[in-house]
Amino acid sequence: MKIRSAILTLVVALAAFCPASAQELLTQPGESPLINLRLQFHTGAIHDPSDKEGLCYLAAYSLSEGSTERHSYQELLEIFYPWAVSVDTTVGKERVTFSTTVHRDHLDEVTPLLVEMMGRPAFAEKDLERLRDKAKNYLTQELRVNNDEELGKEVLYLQIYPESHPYGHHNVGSVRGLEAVDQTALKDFYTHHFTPANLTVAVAGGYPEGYPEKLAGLLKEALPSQSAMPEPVRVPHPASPAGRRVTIVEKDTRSVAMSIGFPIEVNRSHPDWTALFLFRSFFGEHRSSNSYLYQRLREARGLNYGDYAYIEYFPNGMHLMQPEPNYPRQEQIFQIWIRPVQPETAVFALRATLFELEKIARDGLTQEQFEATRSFLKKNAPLLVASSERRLGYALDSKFYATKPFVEKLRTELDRLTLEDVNKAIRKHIQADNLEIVLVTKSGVGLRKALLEGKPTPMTYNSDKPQSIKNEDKLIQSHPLNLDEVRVVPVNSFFRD
Amino acid sequence: MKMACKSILFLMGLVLCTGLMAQADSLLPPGAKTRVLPNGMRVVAIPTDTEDVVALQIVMAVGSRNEVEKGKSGFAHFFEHLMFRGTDRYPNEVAQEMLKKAGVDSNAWTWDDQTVYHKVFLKEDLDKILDYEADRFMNLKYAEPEFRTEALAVLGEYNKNSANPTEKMFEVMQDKAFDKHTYKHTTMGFLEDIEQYPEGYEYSWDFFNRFYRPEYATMILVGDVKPDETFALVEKYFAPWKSGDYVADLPVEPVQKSPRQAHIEWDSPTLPWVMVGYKAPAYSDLKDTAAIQLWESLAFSKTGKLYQELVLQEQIVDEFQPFFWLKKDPYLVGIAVRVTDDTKVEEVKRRVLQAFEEAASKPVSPERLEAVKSRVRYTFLQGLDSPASIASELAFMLSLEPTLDSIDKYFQTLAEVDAQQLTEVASRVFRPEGRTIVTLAAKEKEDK
Repeated sequence: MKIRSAILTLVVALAAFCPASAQELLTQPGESPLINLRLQFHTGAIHDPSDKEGLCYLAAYSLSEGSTERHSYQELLEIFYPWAVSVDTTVGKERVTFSTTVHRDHLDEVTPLLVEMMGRPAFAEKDLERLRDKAKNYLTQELRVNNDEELGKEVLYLQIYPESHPYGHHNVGSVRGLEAVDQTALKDFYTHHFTPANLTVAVAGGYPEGYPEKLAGLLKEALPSQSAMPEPVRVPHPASPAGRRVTIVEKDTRSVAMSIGFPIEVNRSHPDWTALFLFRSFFGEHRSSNSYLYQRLREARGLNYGDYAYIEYFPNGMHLMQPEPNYPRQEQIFQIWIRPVQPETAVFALRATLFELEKIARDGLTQEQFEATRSFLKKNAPLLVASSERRLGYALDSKFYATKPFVEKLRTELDRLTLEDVNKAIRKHIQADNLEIVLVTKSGVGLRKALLEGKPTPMTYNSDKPQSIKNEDKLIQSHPLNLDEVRVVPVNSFFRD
Repeated sequence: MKMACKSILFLMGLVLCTGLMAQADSLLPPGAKTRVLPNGMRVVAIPTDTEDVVALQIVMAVGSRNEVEKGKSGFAHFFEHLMFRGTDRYPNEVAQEMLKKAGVDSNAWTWDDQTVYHKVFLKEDLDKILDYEADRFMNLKYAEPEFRTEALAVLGEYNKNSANPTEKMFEVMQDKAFDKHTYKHTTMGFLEDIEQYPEGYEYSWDFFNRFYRPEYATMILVGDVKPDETFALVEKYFAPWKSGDYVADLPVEPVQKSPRQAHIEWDSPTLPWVMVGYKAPAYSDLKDTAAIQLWESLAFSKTGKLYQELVLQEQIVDEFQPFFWLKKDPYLVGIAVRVTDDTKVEEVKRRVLQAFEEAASKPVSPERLEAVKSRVRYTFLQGLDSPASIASELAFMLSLEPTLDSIDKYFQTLAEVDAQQLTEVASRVFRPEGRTIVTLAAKEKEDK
């Protein structure tokens, strides 16, 4: 069962932003013998039919990890093996991207095979069964069993976007939806979505002259000849959570993972994006010990391993130091990720997080905090695109949002940004009153009781703390949680229907 | 922050360990230079055409392998956390501010044989970063309260990993397969030891004084650097670092004489897992290591018979995770698979064991052998995409043997392996007596 909020209503007013239309070619010539290719289709999980959630995911993987009319998947693996070539697949809400890196020694041989994979997929029953099992096991094993942190994040998205919203299911789909996909549905989806009109070809590295045009031409010929460009889908902005709503995901686990968030109207094309990007970096830069929340929760108190904040979708954060490109979205959420805490400190940790969020939403940044974070971002931005592969991925995202190249955009806008801009953006977009809160824990009933009772939760430490922390703890331990709803939901209810 | 999670290491292991391969010519980027400072610290500099960006890695040849004392498992990793606590000149908040203003990507990871501190930043900040690094490697300072707080962060790290069945399987596999050697525990360490860390303040300084010495260190700089100028700068800051003389007295693992097995009952619902491991050669046993690496890359690739049958055709396995990493001492080679049907566990186990047995009886064709050699070569070349990835590729190899020559030597050994050698080494390594099997399945519950 998917948890649906009774009071979460869909706001039908359309966002002003609409993603850029397909443009055939994006090139970044260079000297490297490695050639990076990204084939991006303007489709994604938002196009899944409501009874076949996961159709886009299975269709995409049928191309990159399935047989073609000429070669079985096994044969393709065999051919690619000595060249160390594989095709990676990114299925997002609004884009599907296939990427590979080929040494120029093999470009001539790989190109027709890649075109064949995209243009002549077999949609074999055997491949579908394998890919379906893999997708189902991702939802039921990887998310429900193996990774409480990713589980918490994805459940948060399900709370924010109701089932009826285009973002209202996981990119991989649901168990029931995946089971409903058959070969006919796959072929139909492929024919309508993996078309030349929906494709952007991106090429980087030391490719031969004319290569990108040649590849684009071959793909155009091979892909389904649906020439009409589908209408871009405008994704509606969801309603804010009504009050503070807690979903406790119950499963056998040692600790308590937390994710907290709410929808924001800011994406990379929004005038306030850079201001919010700076705020997010200050408050909770990903995997950085420099950020505010990390300093307060981990450094000062040893509550857990790390504490971060986001304004863009960032899957697999526990395995990555930098975000993967090519998950662009019209709609984003603000999100706080509190890494697992010991069960006995869970309520205190939640209180401390809300305490800090309320404070930053009220007070904003100081001039000093603003200057230091701006300096960090200006110098760190080029490091996000320090490889040719990442540069190409970021360029595609800039195309989606119709913005200047990432580093140029960020640096130019940071130069113009003032503390007042940032604090104004915080006041406008960041708040602590209407939140979805997801907690993954073993004893849901016990935690629910503790949250609703709201008794003080004094902290004890294994060492003496500075007086300032002791004083602050006294405030935090009784800080009102002001929760409007607390539900306990067994883990198996998620990603099912 | 601060410890690469197992799955990243898993991935890294596959890339790095299978990635280094040379044919007749060196595959190392051109212009690589080495300098050994008088105190024994090694410095490698590699210029690339990446404008402005510098990747720096400091490789310490110490890891969980060096944790010989009872109750101290996982301490090398804990110590990696402590290296971020600051010094008199760079108290934590000053260091944080400096690194923040410079926009530095900074982190570290620890494994069995090594601890690696890595940063990426802009060229203009190199001087400042080297000053900071030298200061913390020589003059680290932290008080007991901070030490005790950091111990809790490590417990938090254990907690975040604990939902993953393969983490637990490695923990049990190593514990079961080893009797005396420190590979008996994982890099994270035993939970009961982690819970005792807050009491180990004094010991932490013994650890620092033993291992954080220049003879254990190799620094790698890749990107917008000029090697000779860079060496001079490194020497300016690191020359005062005093060498030591400590060498851990590592217990020798006795030869395993009979097959072993263990079963884990998992609290959450899960598909069952089977993990099979055999005692493998140490890195110093170059020819055997190269042969096993090639065999593993072939037999357990997606084009291998086992994957093709179990994953693609019969679809009774959906996760397929082979493992073989270059290690200073004999470790393990094997595979972990997740079985999609509860009733097929025994069948899958039998088929996996059969794959190891066939290694000794069915020679690899010359074409397949050439294919795998080509694959590791191009895998390596694909890893040379950025200063950070080049530095990472080198850091792992140099932590095993700290000379650039050793990389070419290993490439050469890989290139010379023939089919007969593969079979011969496999017949020695894949004996039932050297085998450990760990299975994992959901605990039976009454209220299903």
